[in-house]
Amino acid sequence: MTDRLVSQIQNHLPNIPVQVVSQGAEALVFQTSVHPYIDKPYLKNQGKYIIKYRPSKPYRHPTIDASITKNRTIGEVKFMNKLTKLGINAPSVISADYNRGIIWMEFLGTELTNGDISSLKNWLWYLEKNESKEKCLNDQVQSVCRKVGKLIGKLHLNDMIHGDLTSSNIILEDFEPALIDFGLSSYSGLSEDKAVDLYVLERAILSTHSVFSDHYNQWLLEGYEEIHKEFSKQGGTKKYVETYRKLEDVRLRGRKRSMLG
Amino acid sequence: MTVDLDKYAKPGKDHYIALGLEGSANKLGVGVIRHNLGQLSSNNRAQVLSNVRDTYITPPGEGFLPRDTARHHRNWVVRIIKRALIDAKIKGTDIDCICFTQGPGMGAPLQSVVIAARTLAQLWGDIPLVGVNHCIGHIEMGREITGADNPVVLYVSGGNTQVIAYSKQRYRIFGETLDIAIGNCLDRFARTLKIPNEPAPGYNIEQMAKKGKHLINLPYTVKGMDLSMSGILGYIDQLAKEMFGKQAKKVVDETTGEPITAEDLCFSLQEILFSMLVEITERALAHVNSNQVLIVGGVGSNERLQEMMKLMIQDRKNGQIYATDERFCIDNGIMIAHAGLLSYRTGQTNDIKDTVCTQRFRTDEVFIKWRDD
Amino acid sequence: MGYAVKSFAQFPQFQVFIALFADVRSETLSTVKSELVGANKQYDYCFLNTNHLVSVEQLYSSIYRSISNFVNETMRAKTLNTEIIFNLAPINNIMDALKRFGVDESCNNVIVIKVINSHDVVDNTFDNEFTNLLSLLEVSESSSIELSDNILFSLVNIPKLKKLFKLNDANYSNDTSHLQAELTRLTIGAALLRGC
Repeated sequence: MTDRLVSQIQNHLPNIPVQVVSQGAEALVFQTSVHPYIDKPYLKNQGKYIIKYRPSKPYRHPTIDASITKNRTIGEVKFMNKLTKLGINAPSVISADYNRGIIWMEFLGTELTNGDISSLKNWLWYLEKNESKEKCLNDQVQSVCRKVGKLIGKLHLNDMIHGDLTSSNIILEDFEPALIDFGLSSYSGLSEDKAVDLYVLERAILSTHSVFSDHYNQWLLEGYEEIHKEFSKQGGTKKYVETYRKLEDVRLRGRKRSMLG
Repeated sequence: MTVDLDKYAKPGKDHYIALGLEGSANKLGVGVIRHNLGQLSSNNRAQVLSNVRDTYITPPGEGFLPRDTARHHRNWVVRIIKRALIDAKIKGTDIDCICFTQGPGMGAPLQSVVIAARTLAQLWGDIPLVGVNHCIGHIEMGREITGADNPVVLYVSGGNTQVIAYSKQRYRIFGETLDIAIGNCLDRFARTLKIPNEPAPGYNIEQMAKKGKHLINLPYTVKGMDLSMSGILGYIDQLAKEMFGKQAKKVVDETTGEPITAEDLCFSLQEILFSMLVEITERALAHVNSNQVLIVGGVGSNERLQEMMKLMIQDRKNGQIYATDERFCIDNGIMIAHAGLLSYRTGQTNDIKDTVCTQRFRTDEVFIKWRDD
Repeated sequence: MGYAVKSFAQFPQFQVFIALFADVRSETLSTVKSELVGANKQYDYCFLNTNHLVSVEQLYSSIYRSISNFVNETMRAKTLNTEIIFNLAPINNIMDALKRFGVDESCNNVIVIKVINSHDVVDNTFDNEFTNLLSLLEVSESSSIELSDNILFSLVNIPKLKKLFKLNDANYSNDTSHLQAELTRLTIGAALLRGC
């Protein structure tokens, strides 16, 4: 179980104290207080770092397993590095061991008043639980939602697809959103793929923040539109119209295409 | 579950009996099931009174064509039904409802079987007809046989590859093939290698794969929770044609230098395809926070697939795997009878005019009235 | 000024000697180069020029990965010294990496690194290394300067670095005080993805 995987990572990274943050199907995410090679790195947070670990899967043939682990780890580092290069908010890579499926990266986010990490989900939940309706829909919430929309817009304008957009995969750092978790990311210029990316987020917002989801989703889309208009000269407006039209299609039919049996 | 399942019982009877007819592909199956009144539970299991099947087998290198398969079903359907009734020791008039596969599947074979269902319904004096989604048949039978209450279902057969989980009265598809089905992929490769179709091409590939030891490099194409298999098939098909065709190309293993055999190809194909299946199943488990997996469909009887799934599930807390044997894994009539009877017990029947079959029929189109969890 | 000794939490079995020397004569560098080619044991160090080094973090990142590769037996270069140079580079060719990051007669600032097994460290190990280097590089103690981000940033050749790491099209903030941080992130990323 998890214990086996934790002891694996401790074997790979001796003397590095790790704490499990989350476990998905493919990877485990740990937090650590130790930077692998420098005390004061050029990162937003010092003294807190993230380690993402793709353990080997016992069910896979060792050759297949090694190649998948390596390729996915490289792919994720590549995607993140491209984001850094483009100035799209996301954690920076600190180091990586492709063969063992390990990525060290920047820790983003702060602690909310209730001690939870400042993901968009936790922040909205905190407001929804503790604050009035007015406060939940105030200018700050609106501004954050728009910024998230802009952020995703920037991603799509560069033909990059996140693949798993949810409110927990968006982290707020001083109310500036950043994207995390690029395990399902890909590259595509197709409006269909971008629309599905948006639709996944829309559904996630609907299911996790149902009370005000209409407002949140509307602001997200407004931000998404806004950034496309800023890049109108590079065909942004046209791309927005195409993606929006596709999004309407996808909403009608759901994420899946209708297909034979 | 609190759905009332006893409203439609015949007066004075303490049970229901349903006949199920399945013929969506090359298997013609007829089964008779009995449900005693009350909720199904570990103390009140559905009883299989009979489960008869005949498979249309084609020569090596050939697949089954719709027209020929339909002819096979027409030729055999009366005999198989008679056998099923004799095995079950019942008469036609004991039956509460006649269930048939309404889709998805091949058009002509589906139609040949629904005609039999309609005929019987009228012959025996207006017995209600119930159309059943083939995939739902597999899922419900799998749950009943294994006792898995709310599993993530991997449905793998000749025509289908889906990862399914139940939510709010629908079996929702979390991941599926973007092109061809797993069984189709294996069958077509068996044809390229001219492997016999008796008892089943997939079974013969499995036996050959057991003797394979060298892994050849194949693409791995999982896309989120979906997967694609046509590229892999195209690649290995081409390689097999070069190796065993006129060219007689020699391919050796990169590390040992030993020659690659047909067994190695079967082994490699299975390893890569099953890795992909297990991966998307694990993703779905994480997504819905479940720890039970139920494998259904013909390919589900593959031992290597079951083994890999076991290895995956061991790494999850309280993980459980459920699989059925070939009687229920491979297409059969009893699963149609069972799922159809569940539907019937909630008042769902089809008028004759609504018994038209459909080749496309998605699992998530069916409203699961008999569950309310 | 002397030298620094660095160690990594993950690898307590190693200690890393690091020193920076300014004003090393070109002729001396020529000699160093040929002695390295001849694999003279006296010259068993990793020598770097400072043209493409923007921060200590960038340098440490490479040393860390190199030790990790050494321990896991996944080094691409023959020696740990060369591995450190190779892991700095964004290009997947060891000779090319040596040319860009190794001893360069046209750059008189030299960083010297040696990874030493902790078991072999005695009281005067590092002092001895330092003295040896003063004589190899034919410099006095006064040419040894502190290895810091400020110094490195004053020595780096930014246009060359941007060109080598293909960073001319990257997005930089308008506030130039962030440049060292941004280049640190980008050079580390590019080196990590070398050949991928």
